[in-house]
Amino acid sequence: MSKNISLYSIWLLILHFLTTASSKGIYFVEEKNDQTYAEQISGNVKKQVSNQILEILDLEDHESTASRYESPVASSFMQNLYSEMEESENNLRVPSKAQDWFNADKVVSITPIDISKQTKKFKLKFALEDFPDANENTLLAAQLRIHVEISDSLSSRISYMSGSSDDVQVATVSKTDPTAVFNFTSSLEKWLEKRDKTVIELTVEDGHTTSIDAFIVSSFRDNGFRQPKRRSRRAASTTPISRPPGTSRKIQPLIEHDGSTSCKKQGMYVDFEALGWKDWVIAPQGFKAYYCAGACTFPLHHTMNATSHAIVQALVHAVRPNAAKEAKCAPAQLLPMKILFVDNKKNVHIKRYRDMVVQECGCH
Amino acid sequence: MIELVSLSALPEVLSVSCKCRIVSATLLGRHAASPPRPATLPCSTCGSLVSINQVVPRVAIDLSTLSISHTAVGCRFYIATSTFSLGGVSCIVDVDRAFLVYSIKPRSLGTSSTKKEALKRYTGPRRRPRDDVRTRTSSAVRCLQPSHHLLDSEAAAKPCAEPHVFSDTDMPIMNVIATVRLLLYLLTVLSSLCDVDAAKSSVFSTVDAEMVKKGFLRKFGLDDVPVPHGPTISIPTHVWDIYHDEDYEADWVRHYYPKELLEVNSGLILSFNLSVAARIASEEKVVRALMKLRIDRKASKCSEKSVISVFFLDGNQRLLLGSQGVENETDWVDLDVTGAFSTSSIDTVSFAVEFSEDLSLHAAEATSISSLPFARLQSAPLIVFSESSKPSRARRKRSTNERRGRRRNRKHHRHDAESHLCRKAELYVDFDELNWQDWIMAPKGYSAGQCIGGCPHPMPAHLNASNHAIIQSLLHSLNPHDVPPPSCVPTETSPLSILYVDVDNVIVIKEYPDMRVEACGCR
Repeated sequence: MSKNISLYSIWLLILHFLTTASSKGIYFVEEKNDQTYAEQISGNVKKQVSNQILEILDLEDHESTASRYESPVASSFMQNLYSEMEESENNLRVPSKAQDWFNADKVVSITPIDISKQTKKFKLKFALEDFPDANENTLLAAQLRIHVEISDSLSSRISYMSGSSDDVQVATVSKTDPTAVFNFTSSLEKWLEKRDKTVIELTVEDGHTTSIDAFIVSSFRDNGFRQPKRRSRRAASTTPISRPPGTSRKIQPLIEHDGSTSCKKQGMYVDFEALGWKDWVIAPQGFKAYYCAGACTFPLHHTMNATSHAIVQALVHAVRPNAAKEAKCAPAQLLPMKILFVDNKKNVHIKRYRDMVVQECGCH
Repeated sequence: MIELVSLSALPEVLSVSCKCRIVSATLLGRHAASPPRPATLPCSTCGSLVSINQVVPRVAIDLSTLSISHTAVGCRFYIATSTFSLGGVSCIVDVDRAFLVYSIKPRSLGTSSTKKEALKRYTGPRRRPRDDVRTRTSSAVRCLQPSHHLLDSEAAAKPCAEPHVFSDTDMPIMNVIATVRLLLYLLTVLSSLCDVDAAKSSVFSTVDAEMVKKGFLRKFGLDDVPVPHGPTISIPTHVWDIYHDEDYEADWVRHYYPKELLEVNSGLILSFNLSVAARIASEEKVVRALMKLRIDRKASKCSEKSVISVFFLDGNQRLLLGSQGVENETDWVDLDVTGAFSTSSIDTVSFAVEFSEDLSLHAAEATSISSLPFARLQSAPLIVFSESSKPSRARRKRSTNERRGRRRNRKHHRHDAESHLCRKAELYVDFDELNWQDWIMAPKGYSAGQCIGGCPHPMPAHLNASNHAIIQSLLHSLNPHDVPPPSCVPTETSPLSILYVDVDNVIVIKEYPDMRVEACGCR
């Protein structure tokens, strides 16, 4: 009997362990003690949080329509580009050639909706709707990249022709460099501007190969970053999240907001995996957003990064507490963040979001 | 009586009001590795410097002319930062090693019993009162020519090298009570020679206001409240003209009177001491320099053309900077002397001015005999326009009067239902009320504005929230205990120009960035 009970409790323990380990949730990192306090979210709340963050990121709810051909070449190209962009951000040097790519707000790789082989020719069809809206985005650069499988050591000439046949480019591929890269900027610009056809057809001539892997990679600058239109749409549908009763769990507060701590950066981590985005967000798995908290009480110490206005306001507050509020602790500098993800149509995107990560806090 | 107190031995909290006047005070602290030559730090208020002895390295800042020293209550000193840079080496004032040395002149002699009591009550065990040392005046502190300025340096400054034990037997000291608040890096020193009132005042005192003022000043490169010496000067019209002209582009405008004015055969030799006012020469670039000369005409044969020439005296060299014809009616002559400022870090600049025979420098009628030399100096000011060489924000148009700020208020006022939301509210800062009128000549106050209101979830669109703020707001709604809501803070600010008189009658117009709120948002 007692053996049964102990077995049972061990089983319960394992079960508990599994549930804890599987749902990490959005969690917060207390940096002070190097301890992580996890706040779990699940079920309905998780769905709501996920939707709201999707809305903040201006992304669509990801329901995989897996009918489209997924190019492994495009995926690996985008992943490399993403790593290079991350690296250049750390090194603070951007090769001038790569400006259009590294400084873009969006980089999208679009795979053809159809590739058909005719004799020695491939016809590629791209859908206009796959590309970002030209009103909200300015095209910076575009490339048509064609990857061919070459079995022998001979090089092969590839030429491509756009539907209107006024643009013919030739490139050479070899076994060591099996990708032909064509400048596609002006062609795509024209097409996105006119929008007269929903499908663009390209013809690729190649003498040797039987199959090709092709995609268009294009970079854009976002015109609509601070447009109120987007904001209001976002704000209108964002509703307060009500927790199911009993799920609100008071964890040990990370900091005391009673003024005992002076204004500084605090840990906060948003975990994409916990939001159920693992399938389609390739990188990062989550991000340290941080937040600013603490008191900006007089006298403002120089590490509190106070603005002149904050100093004046703190002084007036000290003289006439009713006339002026105390200065507030808020981010002094925010950094952008990039997300590498696959959209519903299996196209791979790199998207840059401004003001996502707190770099520095200060009294304002 | 000489007193030397290490701050670490002092009580944690002390508040004392005293009726006394500090005659001289010196803060001593150890500094970094001995500089190659005796370095100097400014006595920020009087413009004089106390040398740092190479043999017994120490940092001494003369505090004797602080304006609070003249007030009857609250002899507290604050040092808002404990780090500074010395000859390119960053130092930290070691609070264990920092102490205040000062002498006090009692108001009356009848307080000696109170004095003794106060000493018993407030001094740490290390106090070693010495007898029969008379109160000495501030002349005991040697003042040298300034060449460096106390800087707020990075918080990551390296700790200083070898600690030095102070041996101060030659300093006039009376008694010391000090408080150290490590968290704020404050160094508070209270004197308690006279009537001691141990009750701690909870309201914001003049001393605290002084403290904030100093923090404010320090942020912009001033170490202390400038206390003009000698007769109070009036601001010349041409300075007001510059102040009200909103189109010039400079972070700093400084108006100097000559340090020396020598009459020579053919004209004048003028030398200006640029370093007396708060200035970090290495961080500034002179964009324009103007010498103004007020001239008198001699009744002579007017056949010759009236000409003034100005030369820059660079060591032994004499370089012609410009030559200018003078119109008949002209009273003031402007000479461009920007050429003298090609090397950025000069402390003293000298010029030779030559007049044609019919001209001479205006001999001002002085109001009294004693002000006569100064009146003459007023006829030959130098105006230096400089810009901060640090990378700064995009320059905006200057604005000096408070009404402009009001006019530019953003329309963030919504109907009453939204009045709790983040918005810009009025806040008029009256410099008189802050007791700043003694150093800020203009403006008298300004409309600073402030941001008030909440940043709720969901965030209304007009709150101008950043992506981060929206995410923080969402997480706050999930975890109100752990994540605070975003703050309603200024998202757009504009600068304000302030005119004040620095030490040695240097008139300064400084554009302070981020002084008024233009727009608020959730961050």
